[in-house]
This record gives sequence, structure tokens and C-alpha cells, in this order.
Amino acid sequence: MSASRTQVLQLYRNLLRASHEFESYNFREFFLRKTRKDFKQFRGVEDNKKFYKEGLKQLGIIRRQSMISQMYPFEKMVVERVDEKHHEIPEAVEARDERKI
Amino acid sequence: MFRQIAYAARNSAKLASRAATFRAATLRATTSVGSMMRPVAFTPVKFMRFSSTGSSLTKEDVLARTVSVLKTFELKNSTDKIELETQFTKDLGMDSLDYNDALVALEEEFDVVFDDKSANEIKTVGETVSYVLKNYLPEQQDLDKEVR
Repeated sequence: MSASRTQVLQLYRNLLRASHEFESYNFREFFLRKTRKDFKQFRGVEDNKKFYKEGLKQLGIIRRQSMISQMYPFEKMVVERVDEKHHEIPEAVEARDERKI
Repeated sequence: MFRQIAYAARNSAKLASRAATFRAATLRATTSVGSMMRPVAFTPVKFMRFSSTGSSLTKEDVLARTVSVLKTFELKNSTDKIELETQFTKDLGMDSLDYNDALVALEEEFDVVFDDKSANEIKTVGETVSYVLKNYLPEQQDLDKEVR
């Protein structure tokens, strides 16, 4: 009894969300890459029960690790953004400035 | 997980008090996304209203940021313009894995959460833009700044 398509996609989404929780660039990129590679590898497979279980375990690992790594933060590297969520886009900044003036 | 808890807490504690919106309004007048200190000569009148200041995010903003996020993925037609009617599967050649990738990236960008129902139903870029505009909570942005 393997997982349905929506379940697999939901697992993929949750894995990606959990991977983004990492503050550190290296861990984040690693888990994103790993998730994408693993899911692409098992794309057409019919009996994906084992793979789905592995994915759930992986999700637990990533969630716990990201929480722990947030408790003990490093200094920020050059490649990491100061404001994690937003990157400034020149056109959007211009549009915003036009409105304020 | 911290973020989920904080997200739920923020959702249940809407900033309805005058003091809170006023604080948020002055914060917005003097700071900006990216924490660049830009000198503000005076506080415009509209920021002094004691009511919900509403979203400072417009459709063009959202679309521009969405396009820049999507461009970081390898798309079929990376040179063409991405517009509201662009479909993820047909025009951009994304399969379901790429599409979910893009959704999560947009979630990170705008600090919204796409629930499973919408994630399955959204087919065009315009639908993501309208979802973001509907669920974007400006008070959260200011609360983030205060907490950090």
C-alpha cells in the first residue's frame, strides 16, 4: 500500500519548508539539494512505501536539527543574508520609493 | 518549528490596539525592508491614522518579487517575460516537483503559507499573487522587526 501522489507531494513540500528553516547556508543548501535529488530519483517508482517512510524519517531529522542549530547560532557568513526572508529587488524598491515621495 | 509556533501565536493575537498600530506605523516610516536607515524628513499624514494601516504591498511588488524568485529556477523559457497568466506546467515547463519547489520559495519570500488545497489548485502565476495578497499580514512584518 504505497503513498498517493498528493501525499508524496505534501511530503516534498514539508521537507523543503523544513530545510529552509536552517539559518546556516551550508546545511540549508545541502538538505535542499538532497531532497530534490532523492525525489527526482524515485519519480516514476510504483511501490514507494519504503521511500515514503524514509522521507518521513528525514523530515523528523531535519526539523529537529534546524531547531537545535537555531539554539546555537554561528556568526553569519558573507553569503548569508542579514534579513533572511526578503531580498530587495531594484524594481520593487523603485516602485516603493515612487509611492512614498 | 519555532516559526510555526510564532506564526500561530501571531495569528491569534491580532494587533488591534492603537498603541500597537501607531508603533507599527512609525516603525514603517523610519525603517524599510532590508533594514536600511533612510532619512525621513517628516511622517506623512497617512501613517498617523489610528486604524489598520493596511498592506503596503501592491500587486506589482508581489509580481516583481515572484518573477525574481521564479527566475532562480531553471525554466523552459527563461528569457520570456513571466506574467500573471503564465502557467506553471504549460508555459514554464515545470513538473509537480519544480512547482512545489517554487511554492515553498514563494512562501519563504512573502512569509505566507500555502495550504494543501490551494497548492493543488493553483495553476497560474496570477493565482499565487492573489493568494499572497490575500494572506499577507503587514503587522507580522513589524512584529518580526520588534522581536529580532
